[in-house]
Amino acid sequence: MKRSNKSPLWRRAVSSEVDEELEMHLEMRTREYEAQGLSPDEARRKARRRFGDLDRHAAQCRREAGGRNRRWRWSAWLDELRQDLRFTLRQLRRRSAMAALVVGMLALGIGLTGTVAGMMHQALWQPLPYAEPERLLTIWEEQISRGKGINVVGPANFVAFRDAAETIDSMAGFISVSANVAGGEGPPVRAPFRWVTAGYFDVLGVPPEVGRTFTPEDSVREDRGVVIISHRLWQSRFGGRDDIVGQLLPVDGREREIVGVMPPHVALDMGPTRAPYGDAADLWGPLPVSDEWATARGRWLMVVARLADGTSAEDANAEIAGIMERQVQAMPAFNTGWIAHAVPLADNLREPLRLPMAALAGAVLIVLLIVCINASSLLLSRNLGRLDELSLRRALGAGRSRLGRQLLAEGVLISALAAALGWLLASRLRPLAAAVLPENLAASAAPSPGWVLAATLGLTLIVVLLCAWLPSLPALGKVARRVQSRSLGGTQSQHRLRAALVFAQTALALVLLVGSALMLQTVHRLLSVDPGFDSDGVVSFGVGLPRGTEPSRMQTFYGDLIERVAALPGVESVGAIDHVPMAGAGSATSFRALDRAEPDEGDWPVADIRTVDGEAFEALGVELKAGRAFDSSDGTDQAIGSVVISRLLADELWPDGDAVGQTLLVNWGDAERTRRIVGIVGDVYLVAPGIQPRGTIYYPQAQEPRALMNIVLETGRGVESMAPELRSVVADLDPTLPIFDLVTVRSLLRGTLADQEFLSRVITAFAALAFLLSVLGIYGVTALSVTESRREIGLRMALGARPLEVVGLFVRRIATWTAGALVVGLAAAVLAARAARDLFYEVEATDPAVLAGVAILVAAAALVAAVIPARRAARVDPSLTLRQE
Amino acid sequence: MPDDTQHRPELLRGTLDTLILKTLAWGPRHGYGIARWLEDVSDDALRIEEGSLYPALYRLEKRGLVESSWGVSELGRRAKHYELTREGRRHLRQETEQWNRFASLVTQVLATEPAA
Repeated sequence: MKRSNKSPLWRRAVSSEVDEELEMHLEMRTREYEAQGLSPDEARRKARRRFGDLDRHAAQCRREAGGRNRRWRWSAWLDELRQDLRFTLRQLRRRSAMAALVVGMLALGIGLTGTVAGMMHQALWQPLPYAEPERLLTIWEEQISRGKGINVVGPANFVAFRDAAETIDSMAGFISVSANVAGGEGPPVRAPFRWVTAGYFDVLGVPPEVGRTFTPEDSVREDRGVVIISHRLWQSRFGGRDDIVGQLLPVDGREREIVGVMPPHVALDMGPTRAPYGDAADLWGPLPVSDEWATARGRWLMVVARLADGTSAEDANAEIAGIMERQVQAMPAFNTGWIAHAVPLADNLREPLRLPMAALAGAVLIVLLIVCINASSLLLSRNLGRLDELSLRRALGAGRSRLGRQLLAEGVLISALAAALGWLLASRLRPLAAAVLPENLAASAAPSPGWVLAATLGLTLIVVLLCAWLPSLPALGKVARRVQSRSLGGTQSQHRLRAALVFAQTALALVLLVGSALMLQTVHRLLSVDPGFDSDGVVSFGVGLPRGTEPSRMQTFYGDLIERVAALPGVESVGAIDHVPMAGAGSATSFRALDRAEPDEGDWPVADIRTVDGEAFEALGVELKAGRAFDSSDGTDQAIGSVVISRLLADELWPDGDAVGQTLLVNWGDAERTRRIVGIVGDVYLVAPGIQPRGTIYYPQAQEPRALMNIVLETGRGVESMAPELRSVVADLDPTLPIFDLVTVRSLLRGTLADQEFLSRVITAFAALAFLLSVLGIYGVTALSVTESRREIGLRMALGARPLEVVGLFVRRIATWTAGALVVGLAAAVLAARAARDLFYEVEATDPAVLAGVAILVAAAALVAAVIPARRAARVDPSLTLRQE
Repeated sequence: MPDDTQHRPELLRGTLDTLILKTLAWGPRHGYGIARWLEDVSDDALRIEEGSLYPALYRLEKRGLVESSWGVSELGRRAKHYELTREGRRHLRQETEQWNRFASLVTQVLATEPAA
């Protein structure tokens, strides 16, 4: 026998000695036969025959030699492993369908779980891209009467926090707005702009990529303003040119000098209160903290702070709360009823992601578990099916550990294959996940490749344990017993084990099914919410005039724009509103009705404030309930302003229905001006269908002009066809003004549901998979027990049992298991759903329809899966089976 | 060539080891030499599966009854030679005694004719 020289290195140490020795023996014997006159071939064959099984003897030698030295033993072990793997491969090839099924299932489980793990890392665990990010805090105020919800900070309170807090190393405030940017390449665009107080970048600990950050002088310069731009803007508008510092950039029509470029990913996303025009800032300008801040009213500042050395977020939170109490004393009229918090920046960003991510992780883990159980039970019955072969080998002297390793080899091989495939799947799913994830999840939870890989490897270990090691144990135990007792063991306990696995699977699948039903219900109910406006056939787009535009110009500009858009073909009605419903949060403030006593400080009711122009109510399909909409009589020159209020506010304050004609004072714009209610409109869901509207006060643009408005138009034409005409209408009025956020209101509405829809789709897909697998499991276990009970069936039928009774026998068994699984599964589902209840809208974890529906579905499927194989039992011919035994 | 292995006595378990030790009592040999010697002295009647010699040799070496070393064969090739250790010699003596006692007992029993 000629051994190849190319044999792997690790084999040589053992094999070379043994092989050389045996080879010499064969050679000498061959030579002897040749000397007797045989042909070389024949001589060799005869020598081989006389020698016996070369491979077996060589392997035995190696084993005997094992332990003589470490290297020898190690390679002997590897050598055996190689044999085991080769043997296993042969076995798998023989049962390729089963192997493919198990590998495929496991790969799916590993791939999905790896992807979700990658998403979780990105969303929840990855450190933020700032220096020592764990020391970064955000500071928020909160109005106690409004309950939950955080609020931006008043400038006076900011100054107090900044100057007094000793647990804080440094603190900066900023405002997120947007501005029109021209200059460089391309047409003017609307870009997110952040005004930041001195030291903002030092708080974050991010140095500029090019140039410098702001100096104190920047905010008092009189010649021209300065600006820092983002890496993105530097690349897109300036092609990344080297001499970017010192270039002039027209921002809102005024040239600013570029002093620096910030590296990618430094835009500070504050989470809950997001800037309405995308989260990433493209421009930063210096925001001077003037002396007036110490007494200024209004709340409009976002605050970020860095903890001092050796202090904790709790210390800072307590200190900020204390300072806020002093601020209430100092400015009671403004601060009564308000408190303040310091929250770690990461919590701010991650809190809203935690529950969806946990739900996703829970769902995918259930799928993985079910897949493992399935694979494990398939391998288990396969191992038990090999009992005869294993017992024989044990009797022939294979050690228990060797047999164990052989059984393990199969599981390990399958797991390794599955892991490789799973990783491949996960790396395919990664870009896919980024594409199908709803926008805000995609930004924060696109799976990171390193983590997907790490998670996949970790999962493989678990899978090996569950699918290779575990199923090998019962078979080994049985072999040991069988060798001792020399009997063929029964199959009773094997049944129990398999049935228990199927039971566990069904219970797990129930949890997913209930979760999926609740999510589907949630989306369904959210979609059936009447948002109070018409989203079909309504297009909206934004136009922003530069900061500091004269109010009269704002008024005439939007008046002209609305008029021109109305003249476009196919446009039915046109108006404008400062914040389109479903496009993010807007402003809110406190007010009081003048027909009753002034409430105490801090007890003033709160309402959302919106400014409208033109036929905004008509275009959005907001119903007029009483009085009138705004018209040309609501002009600037009126001593008493006009407002339209929502029905909720009207009913609350004037339940008798006499709201129209009443007067208000509102802490917004000209706070001293009395406002008369001229009309009442229906309630509009402003943020999302799941967030109940509160009272809303509408101002006419003529009386409280806003620089940025969104034009809303009712049209039978789509966005695509309207776009060029809308652009040219705006360009005709002012060529420096970009239009932005051109969308249908319908898509805004759907956008608010994107997270829930995504979750409900994923969980439903997972649930369907789990359901299918557990039904297959029930089918399999029944079929197996029918096959194994042929003798018992034959006996019963010979004794007069009717076929139906035989079928009933098996179905009853499954029915008992399923009933148990239903009880356990539904209980677990209710517990899981309670934990995740914030994901659901208007549906309880214990919703009887959901629970009953899922229970009926599972019970019916289990019954069908059991009856089909059980009917085969009824066709058993008693005489035939009895004779077979 | 007719298959005549059926007419050959099978080796009792454990006897192969003793035979190998005996072979080596005349001095060191390589594996093939052992096979040839067994063949010669038993007139080829005790034909063992030659391959099984080697695991037995390795087993004996592990038990410290033989020692191996690489030398040169009569044909000038590298060959592994085995020789008895002191322990091996003692073991062979014991086994031989035991065998003789066992054989004579069996012979005695088999020789006893039934009293008709």
